[in-house]
Amino acid sequence: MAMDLTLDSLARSFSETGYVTTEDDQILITVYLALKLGKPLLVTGAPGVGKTEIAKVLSKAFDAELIRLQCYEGLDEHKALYEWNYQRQLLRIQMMKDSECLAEKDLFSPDYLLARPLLKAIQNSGPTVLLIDEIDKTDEEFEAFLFEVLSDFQVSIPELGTVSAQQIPMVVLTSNGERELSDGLKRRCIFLYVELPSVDKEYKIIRAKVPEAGEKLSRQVAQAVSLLRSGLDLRKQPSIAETLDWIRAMMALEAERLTPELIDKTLNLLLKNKEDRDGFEKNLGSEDLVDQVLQAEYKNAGR
Amino acid sequence: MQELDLRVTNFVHLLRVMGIRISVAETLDAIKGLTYADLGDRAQVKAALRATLLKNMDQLPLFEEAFSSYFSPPEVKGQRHAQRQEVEQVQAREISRAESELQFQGESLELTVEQKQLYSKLPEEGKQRIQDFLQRSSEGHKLGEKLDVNFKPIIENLVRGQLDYWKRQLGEETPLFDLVPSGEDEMDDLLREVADSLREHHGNYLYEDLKNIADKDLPKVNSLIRKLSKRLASRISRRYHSSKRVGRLDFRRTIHSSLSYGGTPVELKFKRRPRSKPKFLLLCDVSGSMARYASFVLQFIYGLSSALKGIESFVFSEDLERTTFVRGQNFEESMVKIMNRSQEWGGGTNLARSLDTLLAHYPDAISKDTVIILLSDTKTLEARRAALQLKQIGEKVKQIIWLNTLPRKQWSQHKSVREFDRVSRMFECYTLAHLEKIMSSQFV
Ligand SMILES: Nc1ncnc2c1ncn2[C@@H]1O[C@H](COP(=O)(O)OP(=O)(O)O)[C@@H](O)[C@H]1O
Ligand SMILES: [Mg+2]
Repeated sequence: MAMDLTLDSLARSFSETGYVTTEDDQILITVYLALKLGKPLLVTGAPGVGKTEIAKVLSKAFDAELIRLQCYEGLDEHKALYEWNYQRQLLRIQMMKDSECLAEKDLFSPDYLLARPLLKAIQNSGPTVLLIDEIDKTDEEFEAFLFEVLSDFQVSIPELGTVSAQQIPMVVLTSNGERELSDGLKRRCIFLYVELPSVDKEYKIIRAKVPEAGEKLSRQVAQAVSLLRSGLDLRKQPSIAETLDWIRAMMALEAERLTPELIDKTLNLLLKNKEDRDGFEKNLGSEDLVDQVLQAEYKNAGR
Repeated sequence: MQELDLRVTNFVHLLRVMGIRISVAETLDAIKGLTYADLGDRAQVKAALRATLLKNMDQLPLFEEAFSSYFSPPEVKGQRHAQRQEVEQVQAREISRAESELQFQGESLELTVEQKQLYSKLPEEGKQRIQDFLQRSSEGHKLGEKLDVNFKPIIENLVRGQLDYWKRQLGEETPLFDLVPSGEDEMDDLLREVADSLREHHGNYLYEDLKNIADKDLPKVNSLIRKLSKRLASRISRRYHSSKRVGRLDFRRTIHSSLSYGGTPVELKFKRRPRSKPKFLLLCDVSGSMARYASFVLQFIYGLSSALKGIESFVFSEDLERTTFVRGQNFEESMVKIMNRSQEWGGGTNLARSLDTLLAHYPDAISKDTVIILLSDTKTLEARRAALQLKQIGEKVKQIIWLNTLPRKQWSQHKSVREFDRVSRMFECYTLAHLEKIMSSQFV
C-alpha cells in the first residue's frame, strides 16, 4: 500500500479525516518516510497533542484494521502476545480424567490459544495498523521483548512452533515521554516529536472538530490557550483535547466571543488542576487574559 | 548520489562529535529516507534527517544548530574559511612573540603550545613579572657562580608553575558548550559556530555553571529540574513494579507440570517476585562553599520531593538538619520556611558530624532499599572519618550517589574527592546538562 503512496495523497488522507497538520510540525513528511521505509513510527510528545490519533487516521486512510495494544504498568508478554486459555485447559483435563492418555499437544493446540494484540497483528492477513499506545507506561523488560517482536515479526510459541507475519503491519508506537525509551528501540524507529500546536494550528483543529464555534471565538480561544501555555508556569499544560472541551463548554453557553465571565465559568475544563487555576488567578486573571487576547487580535489584523 | 551519501555521513560525524549518538543503521535510514524527500526543499531535508537521526528531543537545539551550520550556503562557508585563516595567523603571531619573550640566556624555553598561548593571554603585568624573573635568573648567580644552561630545566619548571597559577586565576575559558574539539580544523570551525549560535539563541543555561545562571533563565532551569525529577520518579515506579504483581500464579507452567500428575495441578507455579522499590535519602550540602548553589539545591530538593513518594531530605553544613517538606505546599512557601528555620545555611562543613547525627537520630532512614543522593563539593572537615562512615553506610544501603559540584578538572586537586570517590558513585554535576545526563542514566 505504501508503493503508490505520495506525500500529496497522504496529505489528502489526513485532511479528509479531519486531522490537521502544518508545514512546521513535520508530521506528514515523517509519517510518509516511515511508511516508505517500512519502519515503525515512534510518536512522542505531551499527552493530548494528537499522537494516538495518527494511528487512527492511518487505519482509515489505508482501510486497514487497527489493532491496539494499550500499555500499562505491569503489562507483560502474555497479555501482549498470547495466553493459553487455562480455564478451558482445566476443563479438558477434568473431562479426560479417566482416559489415561492426555498428550501435551492436545492441551496446547491452537484451540486453546488466546491471541493478544501482537499475535493478532502478526496473524492478520489484511492490511493492519498496529498501535502500541503509551509504551512509556511499561518497563524496560517489556520494551526489550517488544523490540524483538518488531525486529522480525515472528513469534515462536514453544508448544506450537513459529508464527510469522504474512505482511508487515504499519506500526505506530506512542510515548508521553514519562521515561526515556531504550536506545535500541528508538534506533529501530522513525521518530516523530509532536509539539503543542501553534495558535494557527490549534485554530484549524478547532474549526475541524467544533465547526459550530464561529471563526471569532475559535481564534480567540486558540490565542488564549497559547497565552496560558507560555505565560504561566503550569503544572499541567492544557492539551488539544482540553482546548476542545473548553470551547465545547462555551458553545453550550451559546458564547460568541471570549469574556472574563465566560472564562471564569468554564476554566476548570481547561485547567484541570486546582493549583494551576490558583496560579492563573494570582498571576494573570481572566480580565488580563481577555485583554491580551484582544491585543494579539489587533496586532494580527494590522499585519 | 555518492555525494549525498558523503554529505549525510559527514553530517552524522558532526552530530556525533557534538555528543549525539547515532548508529550505522540510522545513518543508512537517513540516506535512504532522503531519496524519498524533495532535495530542493530544505524543510523536507531537515525533517527527513531529524526523523531518522535525532531520537532525543533534549538534543533538538543541538541538531537545529548543526543543521543550519552544516547545510549553510557556499558564501557562508567561504567566510568561515577566511575567519579560520585569520585566527590561525593571529595565533601564530602570538606564539612567536611568546617564544621570543620567554627565553633563558637567549634560548627559548621548552613550553607546550597551550602554555605559550596562555602566556599571550596574560595581562601585561603578568607577562612582565615572568619576563623580569627570566631576566634576573639569566643574569643570576648561585653560590657565587653564574647560572649556566644546566639550570634551564629548573627555570622552565618555575615558569610552568607560574603559568599554571595564572590558568587557575583566569578561570575556565568559554566552553565549547559540552562540545569537545575534534582536532579536525573544519569540524572544529563548525563546532565553534554551533556553540556560538547555541549561546546566542538559547542562552547558556544548559551548560552554564549552575551558580552563574542568569535570573532570566531561572524559570527555565527550575522547570527543567522538575521535569528531570519527574522522569526519574516515573522510571523508578515502572522499574520496580507495584506489589500487585507479586507472586501471581503462572498458569502455563502450572498446567505443564500438572500433566506429570495426570492432570491435577498439584504444584502451583508462581511468577518471579519483583524487586522492591528504592527509598531515597537526600543529603544536601548548604555550607558556605555551596552558598551559590543554594537555589539549585532547593529546586533539586523540591523537585525530587514532589515527584518521589517517601523521600527523606536533609541539609547539612556543620551539622545535619531534616528538611521536612509538605506535599502540595508550593515551592516558595516551603523553601522560605526551611531557610528561615535552618541553622545550617552558610556554615562550615562537617560531613562526619552530620552523618553521626543521621545515624543517631534517624536510623530508620537507612535500609537495604535506600539510595542516598549526596549533593556536595566534598569540601569538609574530617573528610577521612566521613569517608569511613560512608563506607560503612554503603554496606547497608543499595547505593550512594554523589553529585559533585566541583568540575571534574579540579578533582585531582582535592584529596577529599578521592576519599569520597572510593566510597560512592561520584558524578560531576554543576550544570543542567550534567544533571540531565545523570538522571537519564540507569543509576537505580
Ligand atoms: N492535529 C490534530 N488535528 C485534529 N485533531 C487533533 C489533532 N491533534 C489532536 N487532536 C485531537 O485531540 C484529542 C487528543 O488526541 P490524542 O491523539 O488522543 O492525543 P495523545 O495520543 O497525544 O494523547 C483527540 O480528540 C484528537 O481528535
Ligand atoms: Mg494517546
